[in-house]
Parts: sequence; C-alpha cells; structure tokens
Amino acid sequence: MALRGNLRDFSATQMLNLISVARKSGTLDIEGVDTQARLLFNQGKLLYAAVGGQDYRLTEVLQRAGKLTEAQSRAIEAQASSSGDRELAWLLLRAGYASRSDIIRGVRAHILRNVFRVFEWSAGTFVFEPNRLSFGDRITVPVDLATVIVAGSRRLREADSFREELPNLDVHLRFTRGAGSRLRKMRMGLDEWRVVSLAGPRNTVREISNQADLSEDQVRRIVYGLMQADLLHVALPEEVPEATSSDRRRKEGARVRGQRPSRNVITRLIDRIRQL
Amino acid sequence: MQNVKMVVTGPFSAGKTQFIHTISEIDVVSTERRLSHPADPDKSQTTVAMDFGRLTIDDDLILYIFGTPGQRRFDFMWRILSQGTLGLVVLLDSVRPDTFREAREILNTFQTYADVPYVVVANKQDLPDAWSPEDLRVALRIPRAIKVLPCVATDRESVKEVLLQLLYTILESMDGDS
Ligand SMILES: Nc1nc2c(ncn2[C@@H]2O[C@H](COP(=O)(O)OP(=O)(O)OP(=O)(O)O)[C@@H](O)[C@H]2O)c(=O)[nH]1
Ligand SMILES: [Mg+2]
Repeated sequence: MALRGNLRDFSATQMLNLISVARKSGTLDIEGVDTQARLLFNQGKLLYAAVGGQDYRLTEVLQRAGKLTEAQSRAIEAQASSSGDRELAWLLLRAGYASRSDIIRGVRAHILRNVFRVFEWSAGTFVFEPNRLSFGDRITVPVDLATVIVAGSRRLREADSFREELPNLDVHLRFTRGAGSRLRKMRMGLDEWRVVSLAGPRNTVREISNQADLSEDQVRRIVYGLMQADLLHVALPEEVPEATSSDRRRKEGARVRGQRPSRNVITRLIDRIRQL
Repeated sequence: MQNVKMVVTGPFSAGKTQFIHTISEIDVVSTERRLSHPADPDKSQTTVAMDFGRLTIDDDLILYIFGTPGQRRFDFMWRILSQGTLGLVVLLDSVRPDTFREAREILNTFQTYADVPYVVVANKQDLPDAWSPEDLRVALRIPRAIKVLPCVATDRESVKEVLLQLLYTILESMDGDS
C-alpha cells in the first residue's frame, strides 16, 4: 500500500516525520518541479538519498566530501573490477587512502547534503513504497531522522509554514512523550539547544526568543523544526500550570460543553446499535 | 421522550452524508447542492447546510445524527452543532492528503475548545492507497488518548462499529468524571 501525496498538502518534513515515528522501511520518491529525489529508509532511519538520478560511486562521494583527491580516486577505480562500493571501500582501506570512519562520515555528509536539498522544495508529488529497498551495491549509513528534520528546517524557504504552525508566540511549549531520550541521541546546533533548554512551562515562545537572543522568525523556524520532528508541541491551556485564574475562566467560558447524559442512556444506545 | 444527538464532522467530501445515510432509519434530510465544477468526477453534490438522520432507540429515546457541511463553512457551524452533543465523529478522507490541513484545523479546534468526547475515523479504507489509521494518527498528530478507527462509510457494520466505539469512549469519560 503506497502513500501518495502532494508536497503542498503534506510536506517532505511531515513525510520524514511519519517515516521516523512509524519506523517505516521503504523507498520515498519525490518528483520536484525540475528534479527528483529518491530516499531509502530502514526502520525509520534514513539510509540513502540521491537527487536528480545521481548514483555516485563511493570514490566520487568521498572526493566530493574532500576526503579523497582526484588522483587517488582514479587510481582506486582503475584497480576495481566493478563500480560496487564494497570493493571500492576495500581497496581504499588497503591503499590507506581512507579509514572506515572517513568512509562513514563521507557517505553521511553526502546523504545529508542530498536530503537537505529536498527541504527547499515546496511543490511536487511523492510516493512512498513500503518495504521496497534497493540500493545496489552502495554503502549506506543510517541517519536519525529527527536530526535531519531539525537541521533541515533551517533550510526551509516558506516562512508561511512557520507562521501557520505557530501563529501566536504567547504560548508555552511542551515536550512530547519520549522526547528526552530522543533528544539525547540527536546532533543539534547551539541555537536549537538553547531553545530546547528554555522550552517548557516557564517560558512562552516570545520569552524564549528574548532570552535566547534570537529573532521571532529564527525562533519560529527552530520551534517549527522541533515540532515537525515530534519533539515539542504547543501546550494546551490545561497543560500550563500557572495560567491565572482569570485566564482559566476566560478559556473555560470559550469551551463548548457536551451533553452529560446518564449512563443508562448510553447503555441503551449501545444495546440498540449492537442489535442493528 | 428523550432526544440525544451526535455530530459527524470532517473536511469536504470525507463521507459525512454517506455515513449518516448508512445508519439512519429515515432518508437523510440534507441540503445538497450540485457542485458546479466538481474536483472529483464521482462527487456531484456537496452539503450546504447540514445533514440530519435519525435512529429510534426504544419507546422513549431517539438518537439524532447531524452532519456538518464541508467546504470550510465549518467554523461557525460546529459550535452551534456541538453544543449539547453526546459526542463527535471526525471523519477523514484517507485517500486525500489535500484535506489533511483542514482536518488538522478541525482537530485543533476540538482539542482547544470542546469538552465533548470524540473519535477520529479513517474513512474510505476500501480504496487502494488509503492511508492507514496509524499513519493518519502521526500525520495529523492525533494524541494517543483519542481513538483513530478504520471505516468504510458505505458499510453498515463498519459505521455501527464507529458509533459503538464512540459510545464506549463516552462511557469511559463518565468514569473519569466520577
Ligand atoms: N469508496 C468509498 N467511497 C465513499 C466512502 N464514503 C463516502 N464515499 C464517497 O465519497 C464521496 C463523498 O461522500 P459524501 O458523503 O458526499 O461526503 P461529505 O463529507 O458529505 O461531503 P460534503 O458534504 O461535500 O463535505 C461520495 O461519492 C461517496 O459515495 C467510503 O467509505 N468508501
Ligand atoms: Mg455532505
């Protein structure tokens, strides 16, 4: 069962979050305005990302990441009997041109560079095919998607989406369940950490912006990323402990009350509908 | 004689009229209007005011089921309709991600303002490429405490199950209160 949609309705960030939270495996193909991307996932982690039909060999990836010179790259490729990454990696290690961690870091940087490009696309369509995974003989590196989403949100063009998600800055933020352990495993920038450390019942988003010395739009952008990664959400009125009593009364007044029937009425409804 | 009511809401074309039609013992009293330029060729009508169905429970209890109109006229109607309702059914069109944004707005409004028990329904599960209830939960950020139920609104058993689940939720909310 494929998941199809349009980036205008359901953004790449939202799709990545879905894949991450539901720990999905499969292939996400995105058809942007003038180029396409293919992202591969296993158990909610990003394994590989290619943009524009590119299919770089490991030597090219490392060369682009500045970990290999052109001459070294040519020498290794001349020795290889195929363009498979595993053989290239073995030759690189044997020649002492790259270490295991150079290879992992180079591939990781390549994956991130590609996936970040997708964040800049606001138009296009996507199809996610669950459980379809084929990357030939490419070396893959599992990348945590929450990290990708938070860092990628910095590259989003549309300031509209931030305002839509967070129209009012005088609200409190709340961490979602399990956010603490996920945050500890993430790599984030300093500004993101500052926002995380100030978030919670003590500060509104506006106060965070003042205390962290970030502009309103900067804070919106960071909070948007953290929200997209399901780490934070805007607190509901009852989740804010120190709301003043007049605040609370105002909110209560705005609430719509349901009908409070007797238990007997509900059980009669249940019995009748069961019999239908 | 006691009357109670439930409300079915959701984005444009989610299947609200169909849902009520499937369970109602009377023809759905609805105010349909032909769509002048249907986005979906199978969809020729839209509800402009509200739907209205009925189910007689016993000699002195009647359940009325109201459906809100789609087409973004939701904001002012839902308050009027939700006042004094037993519970709400929020229908989603599982094959139309272009309606998710509107669905989220509806759900956010309930979370902020409504003290009414509700369930979310992933309708049209019979169609290929329908998003699963669990994917919709993540996509629309529906809290764990809220049920997201699969449904095919044209199927009576499926609609019955949704109503029962809503009633169980209402019973649970009574336990919480007492
Ligand atoms: N396959 C399938 N089609 C459905 C289902 N539920 C509704 N439909 C179809 O979806 C279309 C829209 O259904 P309606 O009941 O008119 O939707 P609505 O929510 O009342 O629409 P508005 O009043 O315009 O907002 C119709 O063509 C229905 O026959 C379902 O579970 N499966
Ligand atoms: Mg209708």
